[in-house]
Amino acid sequence: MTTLLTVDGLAVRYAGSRRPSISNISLQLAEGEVLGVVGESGSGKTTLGLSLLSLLPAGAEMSGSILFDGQQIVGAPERAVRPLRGTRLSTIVQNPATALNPSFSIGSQMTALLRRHKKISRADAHTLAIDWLARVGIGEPENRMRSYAHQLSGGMNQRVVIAMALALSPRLVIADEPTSALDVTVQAAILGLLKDLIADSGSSMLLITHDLGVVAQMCDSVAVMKDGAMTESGPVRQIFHSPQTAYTRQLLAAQPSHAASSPAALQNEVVR
Amino acid sequence: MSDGVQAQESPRVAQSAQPLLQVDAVRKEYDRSGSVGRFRRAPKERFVAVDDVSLTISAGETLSVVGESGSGKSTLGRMILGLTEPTSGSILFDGDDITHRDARRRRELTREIQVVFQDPYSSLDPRQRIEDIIREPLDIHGIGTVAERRQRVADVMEQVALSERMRRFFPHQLSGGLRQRVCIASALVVRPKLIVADEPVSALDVSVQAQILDLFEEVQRRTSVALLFISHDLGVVRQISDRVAVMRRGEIVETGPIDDVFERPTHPYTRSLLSAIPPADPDLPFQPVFYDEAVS
Repeated sequence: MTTLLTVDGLAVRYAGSRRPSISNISLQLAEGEVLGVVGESGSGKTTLGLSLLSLLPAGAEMSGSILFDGQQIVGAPERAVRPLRGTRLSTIVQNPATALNPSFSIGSQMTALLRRHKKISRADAHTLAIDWLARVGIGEPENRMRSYAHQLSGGMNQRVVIAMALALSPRLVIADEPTSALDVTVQAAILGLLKDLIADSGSSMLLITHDLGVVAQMCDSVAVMKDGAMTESGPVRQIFHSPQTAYTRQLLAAQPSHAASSPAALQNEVVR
Repeated sequence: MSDGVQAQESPRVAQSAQPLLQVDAVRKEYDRSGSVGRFRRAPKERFVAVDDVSLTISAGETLSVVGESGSGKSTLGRMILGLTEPTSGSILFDGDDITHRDARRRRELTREIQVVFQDPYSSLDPRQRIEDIIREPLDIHGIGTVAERRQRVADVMEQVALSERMRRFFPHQLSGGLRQRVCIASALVVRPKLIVADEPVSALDVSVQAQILDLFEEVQRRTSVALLFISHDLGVVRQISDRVAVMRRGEIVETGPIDDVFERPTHPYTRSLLSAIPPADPDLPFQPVFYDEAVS
């Protein structure tokens, strides 16, 4: 597998803060791989995601190296990074209502995105947008093109955001808690959708979450973060079945499990 | 923990004939029309937030009400707390009808029924010190002398594992988990018979969640306070409850002892909810079953 992203010794310090928010972060992401970044609040996982997008707030200092698809992100001028965003590098945020513009219809936002980056006619962009809405499971996509974000449920909005994140076939999608604001049944549907779409597109994904269940079901590999450092990383089975650090064990133990002794769990014990 | 016979219910649950709280066919309707378009005379449209819900809680018991957003679980909690009145039905507490309470009765009842909310950031007065926040319910109800109040505050602070030096702290100096301990302490300080906890751990990190859940259990072992635990998180509910009621669109679709409902759910919605949680093990299958045709 070809390596798409190599992060080496990355550190970020926000303006006015003495200590770095994250430091000494190194990771690799292969093409098509889904990497989960887990940690509790304040562990630096969102900062990591923002630095990959080069979207840190003004005054934040980045050091180390982020090599994405052959291009150095750290220290690169905005005009060099900007063309990457949305096209080769895209993002899905936690709260879809804030990611969408409240004063433009879903359709106009989608067609604007498509026309900004692809040389296609208005009519073609319209057709492609409808096609994408259908692919992310939105019923009556033609009618939804005229809807505004406030007229749709949280789950529907997140489907729109996913469509916009994937519409330009990015190499890497950075999803920061994409389902944390959703009800469990909606989350289950969105996770299924995301998994299928990512697999179909061959994109890689960096999935930032605090939910170990989401990681277990979605990711190929996992990086555990604590207090700005990466404490452990490895293939998903290794992290869940033979965690190397006390912190990972503690995280796994703290995860409340509804299925502590469900038939499925028992069955699995026997199989293993 | 007593030796010998394993009681079917949790040992701390009182086996008295009369439940502490009895909610009977409670219904809450809201007027959907009119609030926005005040000049438009839209035909009356009623939204049923809680639809003929009945449940009981015994002393020392933890009943969880679980459901997704809009299921009516918080409205149910608010009716029990007296923050909103039911449209119909009745609520009995300790044998008394508390469905409609006047200001005086409401005040008396805050000694017996306490609340812990989700967000420990907005539910604490930022200008008060921790000891004053915890003592305030005692002041309001005129319980004890000054010295007794101080002692009681020290006792509950110890009970919720807040160190003594935090007495003089302000809320902003504490983490989310510690703040939630302050909220629990100020609920416990008047020795209530029932605590309504509405998503009390949802804003906390998992490791802090686990500590707060342990604290609730510890508190119950020591005080036999009953707990109505409102949550959307099935993992948390499994850990803390004796019994569970599953709500959907204002109705309780299934209720029973926690293990029965989780191991052998009878209602398809309960099964769908349980199947929707991604298991925290890459080798366990994740096959969500959807109850609604359109889930989002």
